[in-house]
Amino acid sequence: MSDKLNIEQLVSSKLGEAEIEPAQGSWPAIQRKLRWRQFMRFDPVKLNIFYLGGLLVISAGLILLLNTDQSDTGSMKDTGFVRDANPAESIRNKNITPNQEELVPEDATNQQHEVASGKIRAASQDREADRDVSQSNREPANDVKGSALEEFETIPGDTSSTGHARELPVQNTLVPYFTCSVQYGCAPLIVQFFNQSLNETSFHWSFGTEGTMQDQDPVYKFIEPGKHVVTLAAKNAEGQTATYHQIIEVYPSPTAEFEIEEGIKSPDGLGNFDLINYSEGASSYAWNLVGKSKGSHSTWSSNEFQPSIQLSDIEQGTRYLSLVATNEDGCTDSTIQVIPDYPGSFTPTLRFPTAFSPNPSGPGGGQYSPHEKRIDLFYPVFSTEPREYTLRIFTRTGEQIFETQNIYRGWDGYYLQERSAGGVYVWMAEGTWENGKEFKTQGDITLIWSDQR
Amino acid sequence: MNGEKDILSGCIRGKQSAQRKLFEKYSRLLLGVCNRYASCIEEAEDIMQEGFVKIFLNIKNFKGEGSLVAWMRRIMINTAITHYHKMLKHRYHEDLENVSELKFEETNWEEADFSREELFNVIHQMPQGYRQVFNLYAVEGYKHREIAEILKIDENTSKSQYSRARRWLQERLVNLKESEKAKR
Repeated sequence: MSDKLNIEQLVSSKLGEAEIEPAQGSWPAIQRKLRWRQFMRFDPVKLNIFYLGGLLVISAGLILLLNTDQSDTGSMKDTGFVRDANPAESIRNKNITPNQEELVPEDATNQQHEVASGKIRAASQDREADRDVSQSNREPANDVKGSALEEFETIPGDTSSTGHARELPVQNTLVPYFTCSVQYGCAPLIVQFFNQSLNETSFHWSFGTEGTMQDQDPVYKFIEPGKHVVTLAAKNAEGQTATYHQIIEVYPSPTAEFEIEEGIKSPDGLGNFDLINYSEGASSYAWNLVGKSKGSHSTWSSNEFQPSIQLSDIEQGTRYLSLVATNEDGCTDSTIQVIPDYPGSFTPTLRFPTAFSPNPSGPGGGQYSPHEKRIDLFYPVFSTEPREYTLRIFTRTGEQIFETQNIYRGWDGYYLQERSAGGVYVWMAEGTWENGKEFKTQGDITLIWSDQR
Repeated sequence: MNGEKDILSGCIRGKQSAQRKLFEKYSRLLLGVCNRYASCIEEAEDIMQEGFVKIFLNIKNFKGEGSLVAWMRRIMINTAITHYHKMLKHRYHEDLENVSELKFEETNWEEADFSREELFNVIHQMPQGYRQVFNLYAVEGYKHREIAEILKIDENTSKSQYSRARRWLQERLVNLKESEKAKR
């Protein structure tokens, strides 16, 4: 049958162009939705959410601007002022940091006096005028102090204060501020702080470590190197709190330490001292001889790490050696030591034993090497080798049985290859020291044969 | 004054009177279109309202290529499909596999066999996935490739959905017819 339809044809023909009457509220609903959508999407020619948002932002900005303007002319202005021109300082007139005082232009300083002493008249016109002056002065002051490591913040305890800014008397504004004797230096750094806050009823200091201080003008010793934040927290009668902080930078310091040691003699027999450097954290060193009396300077000095000093460089009267150690930050430490007597350098000595026991097995010739310790020979112990030397030994009856000009030869207890008899002998030594001084000394020696009783 | 051009230019300028005229002129037809994609007349109304909002907001982009009615129909269909995708997130998926594959014989119908309301009723009861594919293919005349793109499904899915939709519809219509006969 030709008018039979399959399912697609049936649906298409019956429903494809079917019309249904929309509900009554359809059109108003569409209009509502349309207005809302138009409002929500950006259209440059129509009032929409973006314009409304923009308007809101602008009005909020205006309100804020007006508010800050008000507070600027009122009491809160002082806080802004302190940051740049520091009225507290000039009011208290302590003159602790004269350089800062100088940096502030003359007008500004006068201005601060006015602000602080509350001379600003209530008339807002006057305030406006003052503000202009202060603002024009702000910039140069700001430039000068731009490098200062300080920041200022105010936390108004009472938020309504901005609204009533005009009514608040100027002199009641809390202005925490302090100055310090130094802002940076080598460890350990001792800094004196001066509290110059305005209108504070209570305050406390913190130095970046545990605990606080209540002193008016505390002195604090910074031991650890690094940046330390020093905070002064102040509170006024109205319960407002505010803090002010500065950074104190402490550089590490070196430690200077050394020892003086007897050096090895040079081939020409001159003595010297080796200087052993135990300094820490330093990069350069300065060694100097220091005389007993002030101002007597030695010609010798050294910048080496571990120099040697010749005995001949040590002039008569110089008794001290100083070392100054310096690090990259320019921090120094110094130490001073007494130069010890060089063995034999000033009072050469010869010392003879009072008894000895020769080798019973026969004569040995008496030669010994320097620093050798022999008990079978009779010879002196000396601090320094004499230039000339003669040792003679006599029996109790006056007969000479031994003589030598060699300091490194002692008596072996034999005379003409025969054992000398046990008992007491007399010795005589004479000669000249290296420094030209002559010496002559004598004594007795007891000879003991170890195999005889 | 009431010509389509005037209405169109009025709508482009955002004139409320022109918008109203456009609505009055085409809302019945477009609600019919929406009704095929909805599971009830209220849903169809919603889709139509949303579609009209889109039409008014975008009518300035209508370039005049093709007829305005066709353009509006397409917007309605798109709105319906967007609506369907949105609804998918909130509705349980109907078990589309739960359709008997047995005893299927092609039946042909006469136009007078069913009233429009009866047909709409059956369409409304159709599982959503079937309804979209069936409408797009059988009534709108889209190709399976296009349907796949529109519905963001696989082309083969579109094909199998369609044949199942067809079978589903066939069964319902047969049942409907039989119950009608029984009533008489």
